[in-house]
Amino acid sequence: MDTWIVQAKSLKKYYRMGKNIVKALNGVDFCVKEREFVSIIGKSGSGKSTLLHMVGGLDTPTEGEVFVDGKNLAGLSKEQLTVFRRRKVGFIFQNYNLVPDLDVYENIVLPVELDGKRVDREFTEEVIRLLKLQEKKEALPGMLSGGQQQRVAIARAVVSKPAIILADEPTGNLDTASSHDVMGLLKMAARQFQQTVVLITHDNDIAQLADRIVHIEDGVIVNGQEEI
Amino acid sequence: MLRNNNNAVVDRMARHSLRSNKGRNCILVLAVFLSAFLLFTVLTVGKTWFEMQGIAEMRLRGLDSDAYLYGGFTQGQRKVFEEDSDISAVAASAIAGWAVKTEADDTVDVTFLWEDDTYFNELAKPARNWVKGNYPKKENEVMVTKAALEACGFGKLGIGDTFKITYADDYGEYTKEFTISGIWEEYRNRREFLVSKAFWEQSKMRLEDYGRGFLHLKFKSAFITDKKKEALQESLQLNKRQKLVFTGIEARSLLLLFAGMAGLILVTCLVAFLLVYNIMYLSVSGNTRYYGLLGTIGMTGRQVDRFVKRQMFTIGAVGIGSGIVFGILTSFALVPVIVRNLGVKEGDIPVAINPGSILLCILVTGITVYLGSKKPARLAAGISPIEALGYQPVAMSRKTHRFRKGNLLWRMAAEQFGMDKKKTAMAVGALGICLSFFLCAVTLVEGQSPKKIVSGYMDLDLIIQNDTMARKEKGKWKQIMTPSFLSSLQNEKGISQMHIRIDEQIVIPWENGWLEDCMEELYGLFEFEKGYKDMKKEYQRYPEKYCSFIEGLDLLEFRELNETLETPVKEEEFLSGKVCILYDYIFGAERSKVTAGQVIGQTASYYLYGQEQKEFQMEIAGATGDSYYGMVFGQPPKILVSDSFLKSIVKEPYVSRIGILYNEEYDEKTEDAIKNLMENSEGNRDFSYDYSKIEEAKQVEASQGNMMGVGMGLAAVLGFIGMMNYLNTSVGNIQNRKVSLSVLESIGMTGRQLKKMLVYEGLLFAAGSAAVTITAGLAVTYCLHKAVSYNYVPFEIPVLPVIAAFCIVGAICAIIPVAAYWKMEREGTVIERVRNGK
Repeated sequence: MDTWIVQAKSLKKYYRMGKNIVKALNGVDFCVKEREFVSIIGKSGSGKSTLLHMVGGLDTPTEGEVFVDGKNLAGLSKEQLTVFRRRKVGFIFQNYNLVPDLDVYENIVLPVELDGKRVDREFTEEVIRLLKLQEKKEALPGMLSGGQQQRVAIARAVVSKPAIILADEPTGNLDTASSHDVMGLLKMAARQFQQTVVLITHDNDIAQLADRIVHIEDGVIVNGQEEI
Repeated sequence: MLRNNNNAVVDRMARHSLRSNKGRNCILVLAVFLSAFLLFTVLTVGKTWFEMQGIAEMRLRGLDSDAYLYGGFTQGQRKVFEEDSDISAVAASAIAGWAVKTEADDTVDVTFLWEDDTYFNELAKPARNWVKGNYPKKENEVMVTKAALEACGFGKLGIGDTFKITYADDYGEYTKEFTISGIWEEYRNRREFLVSKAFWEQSKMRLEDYGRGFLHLKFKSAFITDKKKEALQESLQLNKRQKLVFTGIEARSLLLLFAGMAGLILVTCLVAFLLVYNIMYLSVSGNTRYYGLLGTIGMTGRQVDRFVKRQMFTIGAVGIGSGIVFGILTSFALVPVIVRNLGVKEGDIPVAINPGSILLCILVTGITVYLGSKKPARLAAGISPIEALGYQPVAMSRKTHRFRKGNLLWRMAAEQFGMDKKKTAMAVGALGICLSFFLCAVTLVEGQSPKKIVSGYMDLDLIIQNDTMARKEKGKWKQIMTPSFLSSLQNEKGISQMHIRIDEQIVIPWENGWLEDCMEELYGLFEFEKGYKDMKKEYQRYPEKYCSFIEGLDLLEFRELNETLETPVKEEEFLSGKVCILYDYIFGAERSKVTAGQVIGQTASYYLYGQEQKEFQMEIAGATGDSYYGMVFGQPPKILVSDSFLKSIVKEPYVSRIGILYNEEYDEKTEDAIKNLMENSEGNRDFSYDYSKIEEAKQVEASQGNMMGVGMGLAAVLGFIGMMNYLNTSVGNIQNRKVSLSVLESIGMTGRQLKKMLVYEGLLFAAGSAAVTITAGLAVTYCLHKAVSYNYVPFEIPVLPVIAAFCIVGAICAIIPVAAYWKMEREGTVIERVRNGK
């Protein structure tokens, strides 16, 4: 039987914008199996990023529950959510979000070090090799191209061996060639290290690389949802 | 083609920008306002403090003069001074006699002094606290100090009262009734009776005589060159006994003082510049996207430059103007407070606001604002629209990674600290300068503290002496420090050491060797009633008429004296009475030709007064001119021996003085107990304090006022600017790193870890400023200490205040970034901050 790594039930996220209420998520049920590669596709403002942030513990829902690796995020304090993210989630952002004053290697091992764990050097080197970053280990993010920075972000997400990797438009800032390169490496890394990946994109071609595609519109999943 | 004047558009945009960025502009105006205000305050306070220093020194001297001539003076010499265009006032004073006894006390130490009009009404006036009554006009009138009256036992008398006193001058002893015409008090504790010109003239004393007439000079400029001094010395044709002493500020000291003032202004300007520059830089770099947008819509680099400078001109004008106005208003309240703190009567010193200070402040702050905004304006003008879109407010100065060892948070804090070296250097520099100033101020002021600069013989706390020993006739001597008095003293718990000086009268028969040399030299230096030849004849025939003394020193006193001798004396030989040390004024006199070397190795023969049949002979092993050993009368040299030896040849030698050291310095309780003992002893009228460290310190303290308070006030003002700078740097830094810090949070750095890292960053800034302080700051402090402090004051850092300052700076440095982070944290969830930050 497949194990559900993410289970989100009746998720709602409402924002107040002046006098109006924006319903970013309006009763979403969403689940992801272990080692599954899921793409969430939707237009700008459809709520896909909000869903990802709820799953990653970056934001809290107005209503509903999110379970990640069996843990209900609703009951966690801010500090516990941070530790949860550190241990269970690997993030890949559109803007890479690398720490600019740390070099490539430091950025990659940062979540592990923040957790006070010993860095698994062998594994880290393997990830670096796989993502073709051997020559850039000591470079600062500002000296790398967008594609290279995103590869560093993938390595950072993978190296802490999280329960799930959440990628928010990872190719949004990249040209086509770099986008394919990065996606290929992400897919390969996910397979090689048996990772579960949730990817957000508005690019259909990119979305096709996933095992499953979930369509979201106006805060509601319209297609691709699996029954729990 | 006609040039299109679009400055009006740029100016209008600048006005719009000023209106729409009220928050930012308020901070900028506040920064400039504070800089102008603080600079103005520092200039004003500094100027006042400088003047206060001069007043403190003048009060210590007792008159506002720059030089004096002692050893007597001739009318010719006075004329030389009066004709010198550099000298603004020439005043004369003279010793007209000295009190001998009153009905209440038969050992009175009060001087009769005559002062001319210039001295009393001009030079001495600023040094007096108050005057009641008038300067004496009649021969039998005196003007007195309370201390002098008390010394005579007339403490309750006032103006118009009369008293009878026996006084003496060079020609005899007289008893006369005087009327008190006035009373005055000054910052020194003078025991003097001022007498009238009529009294001086009837005394037949002469201004030309050594130790009688004094001339005091006030120069037009406080700065007297060495060349001028030499020329003056030459034109005076001084005799062997005269000396022209300059008490005004020496050229070197004056230069040092001005250098100190300039340094203070420079430090203030530097700190203010760093503050303004930092704010401007942060303001422009924080608005890179905005300036990029201006470029996108077609504003040229030159127009952007004008756009920024136009805003800065307005901000500068408002800030400087309001800062100076506020500074002026505050100074009127502040300066009198400082004046009062320094122990000066209000009104003695005018509030030191002058157009120069205002102009200098406008100029320096204006230049500071211009320089501070110049680079940021250039930076804004140079921003390309494309660059601005992808702008990330982090400098990437490092190319490769260097180390990965150590605690992660410390490592990250260190990376951040070294990231933008320029900004870090500015904040660290500003803090370091402020801390260094504090170190400097606290060290120098502490070095000038009464307890430091009051330093006497053997560091003793109190010296009491037997005044009867000053009488020429041995029959009038009294053993007032009796064994029971000594044992009471010894029982005082607060006393750690007592150095009992014992004396006995001796006769040194004339000899043509060393004694003749000494006496001839003494008669060359001083004018006595008898000429040298007559004295020599009389001495040879009646040596008892020229008695001297043998003084017994204890071991510690001997060691103290021995350290000052050019050729040290062997301790065993001194203690056993094999050798002695000679005391004579001539060995300490500047123009004396007889040196210690001439008498060392010679043999001194002497006998106790009245026991000529029993002569002692000792080898002279050393010689001193230290007046501490010359309390007792007598023209021939004194013979200093060990007290044990003296006791072996004299049954009950007289105790002439006791040097007392307390267990705890400045122990008033012990001193009061000793004074009580003296008061209650039989010979209470014949005691006097030759020296009291507590009273000396009190006098110095009264004349200095609260210098520490003023110094600390300046340090606080500078510290505030330095802290403002750090606050700006730190808050700006946190704002710039909003995304970066939120990203760290998003990937798993807990709030606690983040705050810890920020605290470490703050501590690194504090450590950096501490490093600046203990290197450059300490070096500067040492040089300044050497330049302005008395030689005997050791260079000591007041450790506790400095550590406290370091701790305060450390705490503030640690708290500010965390507080800025707390504020940022409230702006939304992690993801909102990341999103908004972008």
